[in-house]
Amino acid sequence: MNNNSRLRYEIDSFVVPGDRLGSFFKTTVPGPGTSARKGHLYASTAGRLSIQQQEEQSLITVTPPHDFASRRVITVGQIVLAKVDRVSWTQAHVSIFATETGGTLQYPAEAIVRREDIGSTVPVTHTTNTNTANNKTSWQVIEAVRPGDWIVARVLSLGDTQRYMLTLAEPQLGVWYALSAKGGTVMQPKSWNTMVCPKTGVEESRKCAKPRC
Amino acid sequence: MAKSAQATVAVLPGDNVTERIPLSSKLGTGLRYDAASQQVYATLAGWLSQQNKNTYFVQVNLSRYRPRLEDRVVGIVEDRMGQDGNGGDYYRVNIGASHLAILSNLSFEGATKRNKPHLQVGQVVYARVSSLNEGLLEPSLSCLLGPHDAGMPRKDWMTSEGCYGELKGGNLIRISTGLARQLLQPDNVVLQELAAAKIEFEVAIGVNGFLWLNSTLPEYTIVIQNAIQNSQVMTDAQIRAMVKSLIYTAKKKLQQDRDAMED
Repeated sequence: MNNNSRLRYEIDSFVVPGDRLGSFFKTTVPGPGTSARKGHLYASTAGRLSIQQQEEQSLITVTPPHDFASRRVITVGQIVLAKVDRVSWTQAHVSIFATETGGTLQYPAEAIVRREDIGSTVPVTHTTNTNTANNKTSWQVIEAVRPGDWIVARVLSLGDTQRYMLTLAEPQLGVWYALSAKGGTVMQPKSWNTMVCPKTGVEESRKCAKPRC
Repeated sequence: MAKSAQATVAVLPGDNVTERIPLSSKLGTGLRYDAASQQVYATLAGWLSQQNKNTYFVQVNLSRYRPRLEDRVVGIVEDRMGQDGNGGDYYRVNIGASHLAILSNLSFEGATKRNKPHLQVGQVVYARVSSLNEGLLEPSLSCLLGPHDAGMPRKDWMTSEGCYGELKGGNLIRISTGLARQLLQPDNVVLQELAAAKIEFEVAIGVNGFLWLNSTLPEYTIVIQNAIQNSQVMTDAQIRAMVKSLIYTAKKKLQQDRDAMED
C-alpha cells in the first residue's frame, strides 16, 4: 500500500461506487471517478483505483475498466474530428464523430461552424504586420469546406439543444481529408488555403489543417 | 415560335439528323454524336439551326429557366438575407429559376465597404450569373463585368451608365426563354422595327425570360410589349406589318387625345 496517500484500498484494486477511499487533504484531491463529501473521498464509479501525481497534489482517480460510451463526451476547448454535411452562406453544418480525449463517439453529434469562426483569409505568419491585418476578410464557407470533407475543429461552446459550436480559426484546424470534386481522389494540402488533386493537378480552395508530421 | 433565318427543321429528342448536317460541323447544344454508330442525334426538342458556317445546334424554347454560368439575367430583389462578413450584404434575387439567386452589394463596379448600393425589395437588377456554387448553394449573381464583357467600359455603380446594375422605373414582363434569345439576336426584326418607328424606349432582356421595358409613354410601353410578344409566332414580314400597324394606331390615338385636350 502506498503510505504517502493513506488510501483505504490498494492501488489498482477494484472499487465500486460508494467505497470510501480515504480522507480529503490538500495534497490528496478527488480526480475523475471520485467525489468528496464531508472531508472524505468516495468512489463514484466502478473501476481501478489509481493516483495521478500533479505538481504538489495527488489526484485520486477511479478508472472504469471498459470504455463506457458515457465517458466519451464533448467538452469545450477540445479538438474534435467532424464530417461536413452541408454548407450554407452563413455556416457549415457538421457531424462530430470523434474527440481528442474521448475517442470515437457512440453517435455523431451535430455541430455548426459559423462563417465568422472559420478564420481570416490573411494567413497568420510571423511576417504579418499590423497594416495588412486590418485588411483581412472572412472566408466564404463554400471556399473553406465542402460537404463530405473531414475537418479538425475546436469546440467553442456547447451551443444549444440542437448543436455544438465549433471553430476552425487556428492554423492547425481546418480540412483534414477531402475528395476532389471531379474524380473523387483524395486530395493533398498544397498550402493553408489550397488542396490539390494528385491525379489531375486541379486545385481546390479549402481551409487546410496544418499537417501533423 | 418564329424561327430565326438559319433554322431549318423541327426536331424531337432522338431524331437522327446525320443527313442534315455536313460531316465536319461542330455540334452545339441539343446535338449528340454517337461514336459507336457514327450518327448524330438530337437530344432536345426545337429547331435545328445553323450558327456560323459550320456550327449546328437545336434552338430551344422553354418556359423553365435553368441558370448557366455567365447568363445575363434580369432579376427582382426579394429580400435582404444578411451580412456577408466583409462589410456587404447578401440579397436574394428572383430570376425565375428553381432557387432564388444571391447578389452581394459589394459585387458592383467600384463598390467598397463604405460606398455600396443599398438594394430595395422589389428593385429590378440586370446582373450576370457569376457562380452556380456547384449546386451546393444558390446561384450567385454579380454586377461586375465578367469574362464575356471584354469591350464594355467599366463604370462605377453610382453613375447609371454601367453595363449591369439597377434598372430604374419601367415595367417587367415574363417571356419564354426562346423569345428572349431571339430578341438578343443582332438581326432581330421586331426590335429593329420598333427602333425605326422612332418611339423612345429601352429594353433589358434577361435570358431567364424576364424582360424589362421602359419608354416615355404608357401607350408606347403597351405597344412595345404587344409587339414583342406577338413576334414570337410571326414571320418577319408579318412582324413588320404588325409593328407598323400598332405604332400607327397608337400615334393616331395619342394625336386624338391631344386634339381633344386642346378643345
